[in-house]
Amino acid sequence: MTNIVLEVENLTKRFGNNTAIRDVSFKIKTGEVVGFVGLNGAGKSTTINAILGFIRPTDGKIEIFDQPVTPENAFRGHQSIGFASGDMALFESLTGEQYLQFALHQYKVRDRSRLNELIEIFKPDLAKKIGELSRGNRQKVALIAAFMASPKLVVLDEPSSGLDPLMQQRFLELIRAEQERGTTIFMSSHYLNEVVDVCTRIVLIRSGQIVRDFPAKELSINGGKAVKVVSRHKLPGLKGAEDVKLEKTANGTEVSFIYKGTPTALQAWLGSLPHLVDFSVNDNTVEMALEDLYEKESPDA
Amino acid sequence: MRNIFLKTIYDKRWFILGWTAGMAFFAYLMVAFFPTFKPNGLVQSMFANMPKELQGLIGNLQDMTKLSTYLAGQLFNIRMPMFISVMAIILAGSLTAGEEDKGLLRTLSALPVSRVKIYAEKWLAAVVICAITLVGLIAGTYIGSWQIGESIEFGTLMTLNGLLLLLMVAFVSLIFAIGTISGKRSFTTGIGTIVAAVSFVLTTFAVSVDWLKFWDKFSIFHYFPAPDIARGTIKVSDWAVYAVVIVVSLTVSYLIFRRRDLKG
Repeated sequence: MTNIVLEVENLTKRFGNNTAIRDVSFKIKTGEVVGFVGLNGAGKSTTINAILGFIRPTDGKIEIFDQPVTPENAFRGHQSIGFASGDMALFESLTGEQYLQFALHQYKVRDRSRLNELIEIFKPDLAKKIGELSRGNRQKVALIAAFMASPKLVVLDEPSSGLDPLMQQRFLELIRAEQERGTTIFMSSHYLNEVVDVCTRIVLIRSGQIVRDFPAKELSINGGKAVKVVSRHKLPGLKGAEDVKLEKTANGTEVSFIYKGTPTALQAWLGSLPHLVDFSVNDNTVEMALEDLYEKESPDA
Repeated sequence: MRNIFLKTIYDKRWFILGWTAGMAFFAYLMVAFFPTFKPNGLVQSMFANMPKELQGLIGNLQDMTKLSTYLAGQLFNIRMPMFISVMAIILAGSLTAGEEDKGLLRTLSALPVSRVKIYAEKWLAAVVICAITLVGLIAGTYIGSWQIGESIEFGTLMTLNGLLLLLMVAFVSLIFAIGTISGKRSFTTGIGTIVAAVSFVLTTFAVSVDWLKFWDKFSIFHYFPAPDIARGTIKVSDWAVYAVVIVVSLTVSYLIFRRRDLKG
């Protein structure tokens, strides 16, 4: 028995002539919280669908708890796996309570204490039929169902979409608490701050291929400003400018960099530029850092 | 709700209620009309003057003399098979491709439930729903016959309903198979409608059109000869055909369903 909970090796999935994912490989150890990041259509959901046995890989293998996963036998692993997605379909004719009871029965869990804890955290309206609930409330029910059987591995596909900021915060607190309990979590998310906030590792997927797999702390932002300047003339140097990039545009040369010096020095530098066409100064966000990383990495690099 | 079977029955409670009431009312109406159709001089002379093709569509006038043979010809022969075909298409289509289209099959598969269990419990629920609606049909028949003061042979009624249930289960299994293999609701509904419509045309017109008699063997309704059953002729081969349709549909579709990709 290794401490690898999930192992994906050379996973490829083709739909007709379209290759959705190619040679995707990564391993997740017990207790890790891994963020799976990529643009729409990058292959995140296809990978997750294969991990859960919803689809059959064209090539490669998936092992969960050292057991190979196929559509035929995936249900065996699901006893220890929780799953929720942002667009998860739930049975609309059932109330939230009826659905959770039904799902709990499938896990053969009789103890409701964990379910009650989760209900306390998210406070969903369980008396109403799911078809009458708002998107946010449905998402709360889906998240509760994912965690209520105390799974060892939780797979989440855009889990917090539809949640209001307060519930999003509670969800992140739940992820942290689950991590402390030793639960392994694999989550894709559009909210990159959320990924950096709770994940220990980030796996970046682009055009169906893994382009980077790195510790999340590498992406933590140490403040600074993202500066863009467009000028027709050569620019003087600026102390505190990092990660400088140049790009020729129709209006001149666009220079972008991360600035970590004093505001006064930046102001003085901008004032000294003779033929400034345009400029912008923004906070250096996680989104920008990841966007930058995403642009740098390509499957062929 | 402990399992998919009970959940399906609960989900379909209004469907069950509606179809059971509908079957009961339809059967009651047909029985209530029996005294009007019971042969008298006027009806006999009208029937004798009809073209042979039209006589074939109406059935044997002798069958109108007894309630059991009247019901076999006028209720069970073509109307009920068409009625249950519509029900089977809606029911089996919604339980398979309908739920997959909505993403519900994926939600079920995310739970620790095998695909064989999902498949078997949904199919079993569909069979039980069919049986419940037939209870409505039987109840409607008895209420109607009590009201008009006629009696009906219990054995004949049960045999007719038994083979009708087998036809329902065969049709449900066929639609179930198309739905679980394709995962496409409109395709499932379309094929089901074609099977029902072609079967209806073949079995209805084969009585009067000689060259259709060979093709009638391909109609799923051909193996439910209600008037013959009411006259006491029971062919084991008819029951066997439906049993084969059920077994083949379930086996082939399960083998494909357990391996294929689910729509997300």
